[in-house]
Amino acid sequence: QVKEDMDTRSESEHQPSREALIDISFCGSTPLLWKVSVMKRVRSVGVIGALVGSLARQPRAAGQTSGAPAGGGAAAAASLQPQDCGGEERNSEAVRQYEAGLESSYKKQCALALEDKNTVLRRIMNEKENSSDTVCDPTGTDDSGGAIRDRLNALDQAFHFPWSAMAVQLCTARAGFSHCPEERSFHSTDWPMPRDERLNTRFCVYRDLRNKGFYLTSAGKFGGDFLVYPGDPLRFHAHFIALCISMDEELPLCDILAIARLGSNVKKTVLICSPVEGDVVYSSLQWSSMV
Amino acid sequence: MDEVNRADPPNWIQQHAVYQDLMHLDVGDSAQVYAAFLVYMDLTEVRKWKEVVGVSCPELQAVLLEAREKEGEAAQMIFPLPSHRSIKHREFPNGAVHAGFYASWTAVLTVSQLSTQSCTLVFCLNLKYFNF
Repeated sequence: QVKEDMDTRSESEHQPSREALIDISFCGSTPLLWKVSVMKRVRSVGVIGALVGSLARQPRAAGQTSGAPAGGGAAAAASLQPQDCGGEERNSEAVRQYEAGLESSYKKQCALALEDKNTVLRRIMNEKENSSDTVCDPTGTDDSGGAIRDRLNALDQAFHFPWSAMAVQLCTARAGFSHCPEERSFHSTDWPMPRDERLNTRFCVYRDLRNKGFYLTSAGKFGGDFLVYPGDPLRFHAHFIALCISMDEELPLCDILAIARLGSNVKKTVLICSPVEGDVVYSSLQWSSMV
Repeated sequence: MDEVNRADPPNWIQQHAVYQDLMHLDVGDSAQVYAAFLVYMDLTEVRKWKEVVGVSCPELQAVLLEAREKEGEAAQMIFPLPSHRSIKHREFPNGAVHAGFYASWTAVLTVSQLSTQSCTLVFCLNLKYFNF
């Protein structure tokens, strides 16, 4: 489906364990990934998403899918936030490469310009020689012909191709998304999702469970925040439904009853998760009727 | 249901020795003590649990019931609650916050029916500190 009413923005985020950056697009508040290769990389780090919609039909569109990290959602996208990993070094390396590229381009252009000048002078000479056959100009022709011949002979030594004359390609689009730290911080202030209490709670729980090695997807269908899998969701059933609340948030008992009963019906343990002083506290709910 | 939870318990309850004992524990609001009494009656008279005793819990500001389902079994901690209440995660049993307290308890929701004055236990919820 196409969300036509929302505006789409592009943003680059740095993934801590890899060198290359991934691009997360936002449609409203939903983070989206577009390339299959990016999806695979992100999934290998444990961020699971769901496929959303399909691209318009085009030649060669058959291999492409669009992916939305709807699984972790905002929490997953937040977990891919930029982290400080030696961007400086990579930056100066890129600068060196660029300058080296310019240097070799200059040398090639020198050679080509020289060749070009050579050709032009020869052509002028030939024209003058040819025209001197038809037009009789004893005073200027021989001299100018001689002058040109001299110039031609001295071309290799006298020729100078100034650096400022070099043609340079200016890229209007970069395939590498290698934003320098200044650009990255500029972009990150644009983070479109509001950093509210609820998102922080969910993110703390998400991070803690990911660090413990679990895979997480959305649990909207069960009225919870996350489904917790012991491994890749394609290979395992979820063991837990995680509900993220703060320690002091009041939960109506009928809501607890509803989710506990649901958990029992779908054979998943309901976990109430709350971040506390840098750690996360988990409580399990088990519904049992009294006999 | 809400009227029952807000109104005073009927006379026979107010004069009941156990109810008065629970009140004298001086913890928990009247609706919670009333729920505790109803659960007490259900456990002892209907389900025939053993050694049902009221326990004061200042941390939760509530009256809990310690009871054994059968003779010789381990004691369980029951947290009686009127069904209209809310609960916080901080009130759950967990090793980090309630050091030295029970590792789990069963929350029992009560609904009282005005007409028959009978107590319906809605359900039992086992709350446990979960350790990965």
